[in-house]
Amino acid sequence: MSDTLIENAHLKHCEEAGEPAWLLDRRRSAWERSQDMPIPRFEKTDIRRWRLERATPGQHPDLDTRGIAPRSAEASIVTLNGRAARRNVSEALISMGIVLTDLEEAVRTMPDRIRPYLFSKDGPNDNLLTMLHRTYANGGVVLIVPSGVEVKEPIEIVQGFAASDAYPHTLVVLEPMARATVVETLVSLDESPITLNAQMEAHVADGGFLRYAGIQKLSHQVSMFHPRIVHLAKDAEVEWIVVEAGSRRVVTNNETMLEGDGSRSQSFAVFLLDGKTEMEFQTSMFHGGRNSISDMDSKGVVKDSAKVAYTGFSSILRGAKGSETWQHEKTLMLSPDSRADLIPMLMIDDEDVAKAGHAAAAGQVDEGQLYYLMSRGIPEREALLLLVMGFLGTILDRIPVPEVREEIQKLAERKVKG
Amino acid sequence: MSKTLIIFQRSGEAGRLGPTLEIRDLHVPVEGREVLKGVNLTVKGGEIHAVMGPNGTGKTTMASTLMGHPAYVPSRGEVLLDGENILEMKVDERARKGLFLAMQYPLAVPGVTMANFLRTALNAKLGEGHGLSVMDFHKRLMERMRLLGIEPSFAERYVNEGFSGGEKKRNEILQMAVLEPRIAILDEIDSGLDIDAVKIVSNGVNTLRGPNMGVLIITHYERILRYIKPDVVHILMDGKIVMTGGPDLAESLEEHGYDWIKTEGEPVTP
Repeated sequence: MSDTLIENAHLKHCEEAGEPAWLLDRRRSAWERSQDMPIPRFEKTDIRRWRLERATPGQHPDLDTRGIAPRSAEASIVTLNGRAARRNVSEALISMGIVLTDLEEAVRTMPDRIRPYLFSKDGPNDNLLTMLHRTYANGGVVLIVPSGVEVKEPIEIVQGFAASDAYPHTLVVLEPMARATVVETLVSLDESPITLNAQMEAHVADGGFLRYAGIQKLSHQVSMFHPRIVHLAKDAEVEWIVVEAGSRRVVTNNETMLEGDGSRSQSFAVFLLDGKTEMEFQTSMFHGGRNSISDMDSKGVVKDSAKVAYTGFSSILRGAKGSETWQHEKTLMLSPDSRADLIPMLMIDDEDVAKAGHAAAAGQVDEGQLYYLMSRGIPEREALLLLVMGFLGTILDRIPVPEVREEIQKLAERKVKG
Repeated sequence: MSKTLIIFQRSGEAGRLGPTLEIRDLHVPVEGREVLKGVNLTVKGGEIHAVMGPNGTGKTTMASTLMGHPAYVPSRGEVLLDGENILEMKVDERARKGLFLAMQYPLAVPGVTMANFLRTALNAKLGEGHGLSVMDFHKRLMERMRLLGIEPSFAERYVNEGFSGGEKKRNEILQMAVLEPRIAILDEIDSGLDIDAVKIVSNGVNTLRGPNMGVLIITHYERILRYIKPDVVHILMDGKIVMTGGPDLAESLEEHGYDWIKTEGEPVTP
């Protein structure tokens, strides 16, 4: 089959590039496994016709990335199709041992540091596309925060894409008791109809705390498969702030593996879809550790003929005693052709559960609230905008970098108005 | 013919004459049943009118119809604000003309801060090019909040989200203070409040009363009228104003109850 040729060429290229044996092994094994794995199936979205498995990584284009300058003075990296274009890490952070680099360089200069993490863990949703990602991942970002280090300022990652398909991988490692805030934004630098098979994996060791803001605002020409997965050790904690506001077709799954006892995951997510965007959006919590706690608060706005299927998935595995999980999902449909399906799911295999539940609602803007705002003289269109921005605001207000937050608020306003 | 002339004169002189709200023969059906059966009432700037009546008599229908709630469509009558019939206008347009309704059950609007809400509303009223800058608005808001004894942090809270009953009602009065309506309708502004909260809300209204604003207080109980002295009291029963009098009318009502009206001879039309 034709894919074999690409595979051979790619793995050969990795070998020639001098990748360490353990990484080549993981890539080969992923490639072999991919051969018998299906494209993931979803209840509401048939992604087979999206042809995500055909993504073919191209060259790293030579483009001007000054337009996507990040604001963080302390630590930031800009990549273009997965390769670092610019990087800035303050002396203070370097002296604390923070690593922020691109994947290629990390593989070359610190293979032993990343070996325990990179592609090391299988996930409950592994499939053909995640395996292809391991095989082809040809760029991305590596961030390591050493034991006990607390980074106060947000660390910014901006990944730009243009011209060709890509398999970018983001690896975030927080060693024991480390604390950090990461803001990762995916942007398009042109209007090419590209396919991305992207992945973010984070490993938060004992007592660590990660605040991860993931913002996707790619062009309406992009198709993407994009799981983000966070592994939590004992007493480790993650706060997610996810904003999905672009692309043509997207599958995204934000998974937390609550492996350690006492681990916690709080997820805030917003999707804001217009045009013809189709999205399969999942938030998943897998409770393995005892007394682990998860909570999801997801909000969405769909307009034009955009469609979304949102699944909130909580699984409390046998042995995860005393755990609790809660889901809140709400979606506003702003046009008759838009569509939102909310699918809350709870899978509980242990009888000793502290708390579990969900609340899901999809509908239109509340008429009573609209009347209240209009009764103060605000015209209907403006009142609607206020309501929708307010609805999203309770989550957008949490975006850690003020400039990023304002940018997203403006983007959201444009989309709601437009 | 003559009517057109009167309207013309009134709207032309509205600025000098002060505000007027004129309700003429207002009939409103709700779910096929006539709830208001020909209400007549006129409120002028500087005046405070109270509309009292037992439950289910059409008080809230009246307030909602005046403001323009889409569920209340009059079958007959006119409502003139400064000589202009407002029944054809949508709710937001009536508000921009200077009508204000302090609601009985103000809704929470999560995610929208008080400051953002009120600035949007005020600037919509002042019109494009005449809006206040963020700084000027902030000054105005802080000044009005001080006047009503409201904490500055209130400005950054989400509209009515997590507010106590008293805070919600005080918030309605704050909105009135910022928007400076020509005619304010207060629908059951004291319902659900303890006596301290009633005093705070009443003080707010008393602070704001003046020749540039007419007030219509709609209430079931006489209690609020001990703190906000009305000039005129109307009794609304079974969809009509059956009696009109001075402040002492409210006191008689307190003493004798609504049953007393029913036995009290001929209805009075203002």
